[in-house]
Amino acid sequence: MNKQRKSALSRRQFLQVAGSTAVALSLPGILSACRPSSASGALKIGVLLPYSGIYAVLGESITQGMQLYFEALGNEIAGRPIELITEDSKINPDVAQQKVRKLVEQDEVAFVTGIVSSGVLAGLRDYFHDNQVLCLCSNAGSNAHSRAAKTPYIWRTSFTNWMAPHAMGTWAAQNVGRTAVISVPDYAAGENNVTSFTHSFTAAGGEVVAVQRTPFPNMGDPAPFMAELSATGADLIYAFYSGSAAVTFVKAYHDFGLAQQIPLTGAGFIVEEDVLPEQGAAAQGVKSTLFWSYVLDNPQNAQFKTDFHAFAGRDADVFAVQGYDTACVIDEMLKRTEGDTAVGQLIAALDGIQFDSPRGPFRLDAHSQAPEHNMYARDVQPVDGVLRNVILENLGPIVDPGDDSMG
Amino acid sequence: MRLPVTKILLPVLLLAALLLPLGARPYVLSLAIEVMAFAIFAMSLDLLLGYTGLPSFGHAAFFGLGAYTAAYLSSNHPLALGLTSNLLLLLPVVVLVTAVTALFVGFFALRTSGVYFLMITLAFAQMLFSVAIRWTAVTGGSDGLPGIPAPHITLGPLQWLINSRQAYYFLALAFFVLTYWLLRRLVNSPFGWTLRGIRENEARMQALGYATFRYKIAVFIIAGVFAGLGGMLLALHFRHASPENLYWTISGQVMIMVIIGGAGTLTGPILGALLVRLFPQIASSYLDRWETVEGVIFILFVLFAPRGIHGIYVYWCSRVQVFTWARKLLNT
Repeated sequence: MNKQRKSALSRRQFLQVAGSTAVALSLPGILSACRPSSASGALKIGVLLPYSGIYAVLGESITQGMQLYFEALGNEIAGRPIELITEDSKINPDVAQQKVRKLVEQDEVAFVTGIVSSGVLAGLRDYFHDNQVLCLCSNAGSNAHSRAAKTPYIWRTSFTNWMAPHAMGTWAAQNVGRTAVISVPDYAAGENNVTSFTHSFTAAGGEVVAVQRTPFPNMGDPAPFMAELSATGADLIYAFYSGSAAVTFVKAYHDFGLAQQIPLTGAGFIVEEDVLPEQGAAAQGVKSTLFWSYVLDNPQNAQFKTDFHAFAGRDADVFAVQGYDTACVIDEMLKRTEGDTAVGQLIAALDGIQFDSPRGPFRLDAHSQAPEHNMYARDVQPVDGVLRNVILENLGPIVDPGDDSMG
Repeated sequence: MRLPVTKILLPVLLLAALLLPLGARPYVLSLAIEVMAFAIFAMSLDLLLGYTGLPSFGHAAFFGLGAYTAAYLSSNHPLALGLTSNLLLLLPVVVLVTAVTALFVGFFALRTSGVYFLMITLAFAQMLFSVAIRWTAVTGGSDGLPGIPAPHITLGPLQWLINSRQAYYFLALAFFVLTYWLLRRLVNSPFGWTLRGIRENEARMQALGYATFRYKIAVFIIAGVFAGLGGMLLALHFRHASPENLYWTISGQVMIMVIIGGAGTLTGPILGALLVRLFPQIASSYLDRWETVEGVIFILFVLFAPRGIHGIYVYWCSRVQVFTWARKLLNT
């Protein structure tokens, strides 16, 4: 009796295991049947950007900038329809790791663009390099990826962190004062700003008297930092902040009365279009350097601003410009390869791409694999009742040295 | 009647897992590897949260520590040591580092309980996070430590270079199955039952003569070590250790995995890891407001399934049992 029962059970068990084995064995067939056919002529572009969290605004602007450009082309380059596949990377390297695998391995995109955070770029660098996938980075500015951590597969259409502080260092020493205190958030991009500003400011005859590193990502109460800046007695402050930290910092700078005491200079993001409305009058008179300004006077920019407003229903910002230029680089690149997306061809085509961008003349530098573009010294002033970054001076073209020799 | 889980379901799942690389895209394997790394991590927290009743809110400390230790030893980044990527050497070092750290943390934290224990573990994890973000010269700061080469297993003249997605998948699977087996043995041992005793009534266990502090230290170390192994697996897969691995959101997420899955069950946290890691990856490709949906799912769990996925399963089984009885009654 007992024996019989045992054997009946094991037969059932056997059937179940055998049945599920059959299912498992047929799984490959089922899964491969789901794969999209590669015969379709659509050109898939993977877009990896934050669409949630604190950098969601950047992701949105960059995407809309790209869409605007591609729409004007009828969403077609070299006879191939363009398909943007967007994925939300947040600013979390681990999320981005899976998203880039999804884009490359499942969606089989021709190349990847986007990437806002330097931490994400650092995490994905080896994936792009080892798997020979082209990445056209449209924001993250970490110097290392144009220098020690450079790979042929990562090109930037945005900037390097070195650029704005380098331009400001020289300009501030000549136009604002001889001693400076630096305030940056305590992370990699902040450190890039410290070395770059210090190098050019010192080279122009200035002296950096103190460096203040504030907690990242949340500065917390800005009061002690304001007191510290005021106590240094320096001729000027150089600050690198963006997003909500820029709002906090600039408002505190104004509210604590430092505005009457010590001029504030910074990398352009501290008073860009995304934060200016919230800063309001507190930002007036803040001087910054960047490769673009809303009021920059050139035909491309005028056209871009009008088109972007019609497309997105709001004013353009610098991130939209970066997205627009990225799309333009993609357009040029694919025209040169006649729609071929072999990675070697794409990289060869990137070398020497140049065009007139809303930011002025744009050229991809093959050495730093980042753009050469103008830097503008700007001052926050009301224009027709709205605060804008008025251009004080065109500081001319700038290109990353490709090594750490200049900070 | 409870379904004979161990006899039928487990072999079937194992077989499916072994056959998965035959058909799945590399991306699917990558997701599976991530889920397994987090499942190991969640099972380790379950030892504390589910079995011993210790609500650690800083378990990411050990996960991240495992990731950073492996990265620091093996990465060819200028900041890292770049000594070896031999798993037979990496593994003992990760175990040692996490065990010693867990001993240190546990020695202080385990003197408290409840909310105080929760706060002190959180504080410790945030301290490690700050170190990772700020001690740039060693940890690479906010960029993390990239440049981890493909791991290998070398023993004398024998070498297995794990440089393909499939190979790494099998490695992770081996880690995962072994962890499950070991922890299952552990919780069913007298040691495991002592832990449950401590959870239910520590004073009574002490009155019975158990040195409960030692048991708690021991389980804290074991949990720390397995969390570290999970972190190591993730870092070696992504070839990058990131400070996010240490952040409190990961501590919170792993708690959600254990609670959603079903605390004190080991199987539950695996299902929790599957849901919590996979849902965002898949949903965010199709939905803009996926985080809202995720939140609603979590709330539904809290309201209607406080004992997690495992609890639903048990409930369902008992319902089946009721039906069986009902049918029997009708037949007679």
